[in-house]
Amino acid sequence: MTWLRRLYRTLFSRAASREFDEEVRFHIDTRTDDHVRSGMSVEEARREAVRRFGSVTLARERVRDVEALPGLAEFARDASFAVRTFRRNPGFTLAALATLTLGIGATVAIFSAVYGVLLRPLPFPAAERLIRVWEEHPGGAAAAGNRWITNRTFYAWASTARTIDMLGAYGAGESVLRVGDEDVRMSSAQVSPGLLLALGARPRLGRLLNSGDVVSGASRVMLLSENRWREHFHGDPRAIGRVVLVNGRPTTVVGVVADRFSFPTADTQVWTPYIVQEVTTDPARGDQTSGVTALARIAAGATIAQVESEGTAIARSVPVTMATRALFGVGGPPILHARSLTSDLTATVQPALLVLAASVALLLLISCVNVANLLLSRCLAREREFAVRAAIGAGRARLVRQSLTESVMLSGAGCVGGIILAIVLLRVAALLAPPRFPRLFDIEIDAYVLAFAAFVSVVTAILVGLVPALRIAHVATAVSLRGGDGTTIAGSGVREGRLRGALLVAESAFAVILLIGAGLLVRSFIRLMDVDTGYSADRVLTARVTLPPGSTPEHADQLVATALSRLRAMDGVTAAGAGNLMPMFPIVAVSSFPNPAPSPGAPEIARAVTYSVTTGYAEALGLRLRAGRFFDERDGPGGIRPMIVNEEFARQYLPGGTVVGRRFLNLFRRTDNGIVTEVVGVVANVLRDRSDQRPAAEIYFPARAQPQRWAAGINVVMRTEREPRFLVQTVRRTLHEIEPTATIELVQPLTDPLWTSVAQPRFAMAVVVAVAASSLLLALIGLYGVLAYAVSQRRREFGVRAALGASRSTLLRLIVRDGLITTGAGAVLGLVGAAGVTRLMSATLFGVTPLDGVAFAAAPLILLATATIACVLPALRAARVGPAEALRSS
Amino acid sequence: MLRGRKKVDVLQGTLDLLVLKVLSLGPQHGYGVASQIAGISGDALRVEEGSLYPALRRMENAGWIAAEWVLTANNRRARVYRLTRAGQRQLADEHEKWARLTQAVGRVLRFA
Repeated sequence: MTWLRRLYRTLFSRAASREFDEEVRFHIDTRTDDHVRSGMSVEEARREAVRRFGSVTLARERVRDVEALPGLAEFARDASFAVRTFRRNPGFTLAALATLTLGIGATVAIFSAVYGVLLRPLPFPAAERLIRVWEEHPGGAAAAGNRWITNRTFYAWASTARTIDMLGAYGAGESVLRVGDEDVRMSSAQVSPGLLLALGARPRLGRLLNSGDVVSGASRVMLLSENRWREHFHGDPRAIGRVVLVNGRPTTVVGVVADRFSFPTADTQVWTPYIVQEVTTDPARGDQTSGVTALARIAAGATIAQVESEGTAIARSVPVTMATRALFGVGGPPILHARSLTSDLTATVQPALLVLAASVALLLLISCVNVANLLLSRCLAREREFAVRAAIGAGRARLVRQSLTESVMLSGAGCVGGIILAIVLLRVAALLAPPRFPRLFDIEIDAYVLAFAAFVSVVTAILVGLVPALRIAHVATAVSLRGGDGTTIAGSGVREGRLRGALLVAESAFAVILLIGAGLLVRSFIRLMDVDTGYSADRVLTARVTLPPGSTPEHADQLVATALSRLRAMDGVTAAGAGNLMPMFPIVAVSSFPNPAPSPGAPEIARAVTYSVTTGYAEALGLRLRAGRFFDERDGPGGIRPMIVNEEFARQYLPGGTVVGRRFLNLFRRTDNGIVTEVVGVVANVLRDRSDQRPAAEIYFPARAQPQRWAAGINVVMRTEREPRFLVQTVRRTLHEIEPTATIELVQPLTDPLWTSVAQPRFAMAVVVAVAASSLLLALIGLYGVLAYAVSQRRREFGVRAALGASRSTLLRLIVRDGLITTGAGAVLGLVGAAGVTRLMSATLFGVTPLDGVAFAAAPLILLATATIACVLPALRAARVGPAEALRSS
Repeated sequence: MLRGRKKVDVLQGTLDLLVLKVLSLGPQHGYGVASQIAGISGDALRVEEGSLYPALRRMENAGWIAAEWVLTANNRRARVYRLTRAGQRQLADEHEKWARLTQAVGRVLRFA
């Protein structure tokens, strides 16, 4: 209780002393009255009362001493003193605050991103026990990016599992919903019925999925997210039971999932039941093996290693079929892998986030060094003040405490500014963040982030305040009250210079490391953009057309033929074609068939992405022909089936000799019946994704020769003479006229998805470049401050030099050399440091090594160029010093 | 830091005892405490008023006395102190200590 009272009275000392004053006034007034009553005159009585009381000031101070909490009261005094000094030096204060705000703000923003994305538990019950599981068949090349278990493993494991207590399957994708009379594409997922419940989803309306939804013959049902329900049905509870067209199929809404629940991506809005293909013993049903994306929950007490060994045993106990080989490649006995869901979801962004975290940590260090330097130079300017205070009895501890109070206040204010800056930065980042950035919604400023900010600012206060505090302690011992010209104690200036030089070297080194990091990211981004994708995306317009389910391939052919002839006739279109697939589109069709030209060492099963394309497709995309020809009007149905392969297919399956002209009987053994396939052309590899290092084997057939030609949808591609964006509306209208029942979407230049696909490296690059530029700016300010101060301290020396015949250019060079030597030393240290650390970022680099010569050469040059700019002003000032300066008295 | 706080012992102990005793007779403002001590002791004891208020604050901090603002008969605001339960205990304590001290001192004086 007492300390509470004292705390209150310390914090509100003004109110407390007003109270005391009133009490004293009452005391004196009452005594005056008493004296008057005993016969004194009023003035006399008052004089006597005041005399009797003694010194009110002294009493007030003693009362304050009794009431105040000792440490706090002193801090309050130091703080108010600090505020006064800050006010007297607005330039210094602003520079220091801006620097700290920048450093702390950037650090807090990145921390909240790292924490929200990588560290905060997923919003699911027992989230730490959720794991992704997948099979590997060692030696076999699995289809890129797909980590599956087979449906055989799934069922065998689900019925016997001991190390896991839940096994669910899901698939993320996109669905097109008919909203009003517009088609809207949105993120959707197929989930096995138990999965949503296990993830803690609750129905807001209706029900979740249940096992009845996945039996054969069950009607199509779907769940909507709460947001989508509000938008689409305006929150109408009668939405349950309504039928919506999903990908053209009538589907009944059976439930609305409450709140912000989202799985597997942050923007999933529609859930439909996932039916894991049943395995029967009926030979007529064919192979029946399929790939399943699976999620499990570890049973209480089990470990990941136990899950892996149990799963491996199960995976090895089920038969390996032809389709298994197609899924996983031909390899050894399967191994089952398990990894926590959190790290699985964020694996793609983790390296980039860690690089960002490291770069802002460097930026924070640089800001600390800069502010320490600023404080140091100010404490030199205040050396006499400290000396005077020491001389009149302030202890060393007292002076150090005063100096630390100042740095604590600076970093405290910087912390507040930093949190505000972080909030702004996160808002901006949310707008610029790459699409599909995992867990973006989990990034927020919360108690953990605030605690981190407080921690950072305490560390900052110590880092920033320590050097000047030690310096002051030194001054206090060597009490110096020297002449009035503002110069310092001889010798201390030299030591000072060294200390500040060391700080500058450190700052330059950090800046060089950041510049190199930024340089590496810029270089790899350029490399990424320079990658030969095998087609030319400029001036290509695409459109995706989906016919209602049940449409015949002939109907689709009709549509394609009409559309292409009308598009080709359009002004500004130079070529047009259609294909079942296209680059940058997330759907692929893969066929597996026995290797057409088996040879020892070559894989038994060939697996290739299979395109069905019309004439004009290759020309519109600008595919590059390596040999032979593209398809043309000759290639009709019947007769020999022409095939175009890409270089990778030729390399893998048709090694040696010419490829064009080779013929194969019954390429697809199961469906071909006496059909001869002839390779008529070889095209350059088309990369699905710029960072894809391994091109896939691909084959092209004329659409008319393929029974399944439009099963994956129709992608129209056209090459335009001018900017394709101008044609978007016309093309959309034309296609809609031809077939009003079709879903028409993604009418866009091909460069759009290409640009989106590099959003993540672009984002990381932009952030690191901004951080590096800030660090460069801070280094510039720091160097300028130190040199400007050094010049003002050495004016007399320059005067003497000038008197002894040094020319202006000599003086100029002297200062520039000083600055560059310091920076250069830092640059060398930075290069060494960078060589040590850049390999940690290799996961975020593309096409450049962590020791890329260009980045390593450019960074120090940029720093030195900046340093030269920082040197110029102080150097000019030094050069203007005349010989008369030497005579100026001190 | 050295302003008087160190010279506590006897003097202050005595002042505390006197203040507590006066307040045990009833709530009183600072001026009243000072004039009662002077009055009862026949002006033999005069409280240094500069020390009275810090002492009152200290005792308030210790929880022996509590204060509140009241309006006096002639319409002035006065800060009136009263003894708390802890203050009564403290008074008994100090009283006994004082008695023992004077007894001891008296004995020494008688026999010396």
